[in-house]
Amino acid sequence: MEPSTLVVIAAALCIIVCAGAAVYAIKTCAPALASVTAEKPELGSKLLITIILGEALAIYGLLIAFMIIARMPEIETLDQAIQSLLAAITMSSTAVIAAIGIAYTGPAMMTAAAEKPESFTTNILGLVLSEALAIYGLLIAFMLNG
Amino acid sequence: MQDLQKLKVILFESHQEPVLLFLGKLGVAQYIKVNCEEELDTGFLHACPIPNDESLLNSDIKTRILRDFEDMHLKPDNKIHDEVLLPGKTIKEILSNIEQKLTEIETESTPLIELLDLASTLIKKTGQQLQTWEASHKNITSNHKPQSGQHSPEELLLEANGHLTDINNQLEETGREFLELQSLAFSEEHSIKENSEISNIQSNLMSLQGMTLKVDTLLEAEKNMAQCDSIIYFEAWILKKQFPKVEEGINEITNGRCVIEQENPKPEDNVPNVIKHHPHFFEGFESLTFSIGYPRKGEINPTYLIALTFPFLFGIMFADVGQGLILFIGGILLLIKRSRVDINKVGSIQRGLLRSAGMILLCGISAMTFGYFFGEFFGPSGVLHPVLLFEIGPFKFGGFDPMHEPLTLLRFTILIGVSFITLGLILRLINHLKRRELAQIIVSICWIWFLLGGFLMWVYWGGISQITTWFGEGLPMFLTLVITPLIIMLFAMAKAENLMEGIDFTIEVFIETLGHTLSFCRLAALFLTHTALSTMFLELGGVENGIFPLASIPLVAIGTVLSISIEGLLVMVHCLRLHWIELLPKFYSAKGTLFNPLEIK
Repeated sequence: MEPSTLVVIAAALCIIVCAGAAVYAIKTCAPALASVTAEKPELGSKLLITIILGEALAIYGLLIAFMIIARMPEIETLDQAIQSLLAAITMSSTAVIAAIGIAYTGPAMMTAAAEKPESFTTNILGLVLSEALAIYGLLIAFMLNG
Repeated sequence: MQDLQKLKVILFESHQEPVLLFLGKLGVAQYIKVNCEEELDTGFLHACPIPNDESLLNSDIKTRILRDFEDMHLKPDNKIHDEVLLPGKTIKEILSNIEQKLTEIETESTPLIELLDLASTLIKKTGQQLQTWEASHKNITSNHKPQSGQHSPEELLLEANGHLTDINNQLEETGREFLELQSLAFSEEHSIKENSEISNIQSNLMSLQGMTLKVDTLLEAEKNMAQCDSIIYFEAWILKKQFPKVEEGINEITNGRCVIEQENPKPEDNVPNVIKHHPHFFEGFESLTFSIGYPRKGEINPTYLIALTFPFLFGIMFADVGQGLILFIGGILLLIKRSRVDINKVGSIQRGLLRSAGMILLCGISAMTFGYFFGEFFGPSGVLHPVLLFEIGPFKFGGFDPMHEPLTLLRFTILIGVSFITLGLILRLINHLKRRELAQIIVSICWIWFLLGGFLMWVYWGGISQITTWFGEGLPMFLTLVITPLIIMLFAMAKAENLMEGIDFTIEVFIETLGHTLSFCRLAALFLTHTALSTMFLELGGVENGIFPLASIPLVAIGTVLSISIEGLLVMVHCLRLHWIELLPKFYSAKGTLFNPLEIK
């Protein structure tokens, strides 16, 4: 297979899978957010952080895809192309993993905050740490890309 | 520092409400829930129940007001009303006054309600008739029976057609008359609503509603008091300088038949914190810090610190001179509007925007500064070039193009991250120094040592790829800089609490520090996405080397609008996350309470 084809596949794969992961996270958090804000509107602006963190996964995917495409003219051998492909796979997999984490912790945190607003600061930790997994993937994908 | 003192009062039941109203008018007391385990001479204390009659009457009035709103097809508006409570010695008197006023308003508005009802029934009836006519209009053709076969088919058809058009015309006539009637009824209803009397009635009803809410707070305050037979005992926090006035007032109301005592707060009490209102410029930061909690007495108030660090981080992620300029101008306009408009009279979205005027202005300045150093003007258009500020070792501040040297940007953000966490830890150290807790002071010093030691190791020997050299040549350095502080921290924590806690804490510090430092890589990620978005629009418009062709300006404008709304929101939330989770928990306990005296005009 030609190196340029692999690079193109890498970029497309990255953005598609990361966007899918982001939509999975948002789709699980948004109904819970809607029902919590229907009961307590004053919590709404604080709890929006779950949706924003879900959206951030797509941003990271966009970034890596952009960097891969920007490096496309310099890639000549098959090895370099496989390196780009693996960077894309790293980013996508960590995004999916982070999305699963957000999808589980987000609604639970929101429903707990509806009952006891003081528990927000403790429970936000689960959400934020699963987002951090995506950051670690972003970092490694960055370094793999060159 | 304003001192708070505990006020303890014993008085008769009949004086309870006048004293409550008097303290409410002064607006100085925050009631404490009395611990009812205490004993008096003649029996046990039990908590004061909410007076039943008054609360029933209050909720009656509330439902009447809501029903009046519905009758007049009005909706309560979302503005904040600050009304003066009607006079009265006890709450019962106040409530009867409110009820009297409500009946007045109701009698005033009955003729208007009748008119409105008439108009709406008329509209409904005409609507119904129109619907039935429209439905039957479609069936008209099928009801027509065919005539007997005397005439020829053409004549029959012509006659049927004429008949049909006649009926159609008649139907159209009646339909038009109905529509006219309906629009007449609509306009009548509209003019009645526009009548200024209705808006008068609406504002009166709103003020009455506000008063019922205030009565609610008064009744809630009564719950905090304790009762024993016909004697009431309550406690409250008041400012030291207000004490003589309060004592005089209570003596006057009760004719001297009361016991008043003043006490200094004991260390185990949860003393509320008196926080002065910040100037308008810093209001946005105030709501950001206090939404996770208030500082305890004696702790640093982080609002002014966040006013410095939040725009700093925002500027790194949103670096762009052009877009920063737009934010700056927007901030100035909002500030001008803020000083002219009464904040309680606008809708809630506008209120939020006006409150964050100072924040937007500072973020704009910061974005312009960093945009200048990174050479961005609406993206890397070539109008500005990267400018080097200074260079510390392998870290460059400005002077490189991040799109082509992403690893330099990453190193720069890790430097920023380490300095931020160090700042938080230094503040933690200051907090502990104020309270003179020796073990915690040692723990904080060890934490800073560990962080800076790890950072130095990374700078000197290289990162993950060189980890073998850390254990090889750099072993003595590794031991002193990284392992020693961890061990000291373990022992200090184990001495202060127990061994299990010590091990827990040390492992937590290790993992947390690593995670939080790496988390600052999102500065690089968000900066690159911001640049990438702007580059996309610049390339679409064909901008190169700082020349903006005329056709590209609308494209760049659209790109700017998209960028500021989406990226601005995203960057602000990430900045907020960095503060709430990485910086603030290091020194801010967020467990304090605000001194919020019950104030009724």
